[in-house]
Amino acid sequence: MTKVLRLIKEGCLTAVLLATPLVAAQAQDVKDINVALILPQSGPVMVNVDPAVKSIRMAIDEVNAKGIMVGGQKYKFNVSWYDEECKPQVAVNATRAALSQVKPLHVVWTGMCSSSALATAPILRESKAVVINSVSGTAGFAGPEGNPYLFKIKEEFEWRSRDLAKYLAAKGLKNGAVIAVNSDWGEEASRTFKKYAAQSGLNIALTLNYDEQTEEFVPLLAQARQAKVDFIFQASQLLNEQVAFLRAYRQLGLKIQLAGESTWTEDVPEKAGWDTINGMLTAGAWVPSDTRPAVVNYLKKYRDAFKVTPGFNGPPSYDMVHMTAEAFEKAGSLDSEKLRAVVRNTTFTGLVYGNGTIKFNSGGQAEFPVSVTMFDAKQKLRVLAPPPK
Amino acid sequence: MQSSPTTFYIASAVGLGVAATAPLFISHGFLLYMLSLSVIGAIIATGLNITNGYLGILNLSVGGQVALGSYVCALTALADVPVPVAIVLAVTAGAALAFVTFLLFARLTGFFFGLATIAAAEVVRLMIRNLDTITHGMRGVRGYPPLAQSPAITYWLLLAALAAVLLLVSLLVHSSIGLRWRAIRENANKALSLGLPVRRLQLAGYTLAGAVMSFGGALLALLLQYIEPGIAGLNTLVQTVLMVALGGGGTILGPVIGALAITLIPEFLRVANELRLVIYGMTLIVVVLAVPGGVVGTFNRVMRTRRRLAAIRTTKGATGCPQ
Amino acid sequence: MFTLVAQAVISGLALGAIYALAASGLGIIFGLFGVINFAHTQNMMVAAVTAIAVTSLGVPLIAAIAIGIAVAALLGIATERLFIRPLLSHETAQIDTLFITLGLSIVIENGTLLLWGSEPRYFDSPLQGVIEIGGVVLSIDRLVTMVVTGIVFLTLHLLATRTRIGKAVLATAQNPDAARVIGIPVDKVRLLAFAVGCGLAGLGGILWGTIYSVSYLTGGTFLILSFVLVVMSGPGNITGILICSLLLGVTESVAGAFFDAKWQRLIVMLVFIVIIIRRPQGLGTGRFARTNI
Repeated sequence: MTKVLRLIKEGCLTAVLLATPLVAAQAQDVKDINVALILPQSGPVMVNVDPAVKSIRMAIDEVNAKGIMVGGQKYKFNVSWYDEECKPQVAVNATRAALSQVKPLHVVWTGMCSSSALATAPILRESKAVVINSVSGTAGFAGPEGNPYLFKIKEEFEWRSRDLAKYLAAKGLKNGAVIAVNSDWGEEASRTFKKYAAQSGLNIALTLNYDEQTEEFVPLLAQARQAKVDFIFQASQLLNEQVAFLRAYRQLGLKIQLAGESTWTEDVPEKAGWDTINGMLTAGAWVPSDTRPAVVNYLKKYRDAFKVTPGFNGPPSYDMVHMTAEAFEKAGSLDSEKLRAVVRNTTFTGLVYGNGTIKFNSGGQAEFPVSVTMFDAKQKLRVLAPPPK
Repeated sequence: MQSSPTTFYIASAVGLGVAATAPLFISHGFLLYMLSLSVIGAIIATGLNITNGYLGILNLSVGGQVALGSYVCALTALADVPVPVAIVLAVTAGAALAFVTFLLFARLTGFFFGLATIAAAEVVRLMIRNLDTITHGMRGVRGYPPLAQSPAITYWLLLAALAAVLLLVSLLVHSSIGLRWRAIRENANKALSLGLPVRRLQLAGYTLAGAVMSFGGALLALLLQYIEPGIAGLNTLVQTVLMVALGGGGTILGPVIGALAITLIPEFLRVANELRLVIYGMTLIVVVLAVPGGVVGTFNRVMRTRRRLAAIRTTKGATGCPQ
Repeated sequence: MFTLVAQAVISGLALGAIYALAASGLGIIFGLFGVINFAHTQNMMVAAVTAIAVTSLGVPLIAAIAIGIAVAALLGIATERLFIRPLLSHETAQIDTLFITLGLSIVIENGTLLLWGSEPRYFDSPLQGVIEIGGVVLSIDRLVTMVVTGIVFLTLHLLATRTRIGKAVLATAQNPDAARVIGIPVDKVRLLAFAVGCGLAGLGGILWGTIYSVSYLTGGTFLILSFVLVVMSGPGNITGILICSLLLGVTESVAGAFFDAKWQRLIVMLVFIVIIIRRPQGLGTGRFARTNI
């Protein structure tokens, strides 16, 4: 009797052992799409990049949970992260490392500091890899003259400055001051705004620059007060500069209309309080008060997970992941040329950034409308700015 | 120091020969690029070694010298000056800056001198950043021709440059000038009382060090194909100082080994970036506390001790002292 | 016009007060030991970070500040014991201490990044209000900084000149061997000076934190400036450091009010170079100056 029992036990064990590889094979049926992701993960800009990192992780989880169906085979994103430290030399090393270590490389995601994007442009162009760049702000490294394989989501400085300047002029404001950080980004922001301010008939009476990491804004704002300007345009990349700016503004008891670059998002008042920033204007494609389901869902999910409102780098990075998945599905293959053709020609919808639609123009730049938004202390959110009188 | 310069030269030539074969085995563009970067690091570190290793001067002007070399080379090459001429201009500018800097600070000693050189480097950085009509300021410089079109040829040219610099330094070090430099390093006052023209020797060494570092800067600009004022920052200084300290100051090969280690090892630590910086800091601490003289210095000391022990064993003196 | 200048001067004085606290700690240490502590300004950051972290656990502000300063002082003592004292016997002591404290500074800065994150943090300070006098706005936190710094320096001066401990410190600075002969416990005195120097820096960091923000990068921004101030005024010259720091803060601030900030730092560096060339021993020779520097 016991021998029979033993045989039955062994039989069952063997059956289980034989079945396991079959089960494992089922699970193994999901293949990898290899992605190289290059962005700054250390240095002062970490605070700005953090929403991008979190949004990308969130999006990867969502996409991989569903799976990406390419030509009848299920895939998931296998992402290798590379830190470019917001330093051009390190960015070059990181990019070369990524290009040689991720094999086979199917797509590259980047969101680098401006000088890093410029430094790595020739290397990426040479590699002929399809590159989707979510948040680099500067111009000149995408498109046929830059890199015909690179596609850029974040909007140009030009559109933001144009709409913001038009709005301020329409409000009847005349004289303004520009307070910008002394970096390549700050310089481009300041230059672009002044160009469109002039086009809209605004007079920039005062341009003040300050060194990165400065937190002493009282003398600068005292100058603005002296010059009796109607508005101040502030371009800063770092959270501590923005908070210090608001503090100094409050301490001086100023009542001048504030306007800022797209870096002014909800994380600033979440640190500095909402009373001073109430009414401040910015222009950009991220409107968190938008009622579209994609935006509402993204916002809720992000806030539930991380307890803060995502900064301006979050939404385009989130979209970057989703549209790449959609692009692979449409292309039906992992081939770079096919992918590139799809990205170039498709209109992606249902996204978060801008009006939810991404279509790249011939210069590799995504085009969508930019809105002027206003900080609203009651809703603790930025809303669409009311029409100027 | 090695016991015989000839064996050293032969060994180095063999080493360089081996290094030169690298492009034949390495198809990875990345690894070849990292080796090229290491070679440039070795050149810059060798420059620093002249003052900090052999002369005993605390020279912290690395950022300023390297950046000046980079910018002079890049801007002139951008203006259609042929690349070799651009390099020569960069080296000349670097030598001139070093010459003037040393004369300005000649009356300072030790730490004060070092601090003054840091201030000078800061001045260079800020000038580069602020004079943006000439230097393109924060936007950086790009679009100038490279050293060579193929990565392999670039690597060989860089290796040749390193060989030339190492040859120059080792010839100097093994000559009477080198002897005098080391005498100054041991005790400047005593050297002075012995009749050595201390200030003049220090000036020559500092100027040469500056020229070599600017040479490295020019080559760096050509390899990177993009430069910005950040090159003059504290980062370049710390990396180079670490290369010399880790590899061993006052030796020929020390800076080369240090440069290889500092440039290549972090690439294997890609996973943990802030951790990498912490490891840098800890390495510096450990090197100073436990391994003064760096890798090569320790190796030399071990070899010297072994030779001394061997000498003691072969003599039959009752006291055990070598005869 | 007057209000612009007055506004800039007030901001500048508060800034200068903090510079003075940072630099004088360094000056005391340099004057007594003749060695360089590259990690000195990290004490500022560590004190502020500790104080903020402790307040978030519910500890009242005053106690948190005291704890922060104590931690900075302890860090200073640890630095002296573990990293500086073993090197004092080396022939290349100055260079070695520079490198080892450089390494320490990198470890502290990036260790804080790993443990604390990159976000700037702020004190929940009750000193948020302002006083307005004739169009010039004086924020309470800057006022407090100036007053506290003034009291601290006055106390330091009195301690150094009127008390036995103070005189012992002066004696050790001028000639450690003779001091030992008289019976002054030189090692203990040095330890005390290190702790006081680092505690001062810690206080500076905390006061900085009440006006501005604190992050793992805070220490680095003061580094070069502190050394420049110490060398400019002469290593042991504490009053000189106070005056130079205030002057520097006000100049920076006023220059920011009238010129492009781009040139501020450059002008400071050039002034420093000019001074150091003309007077290598610094603008004043202090009572603390070692006789064999």
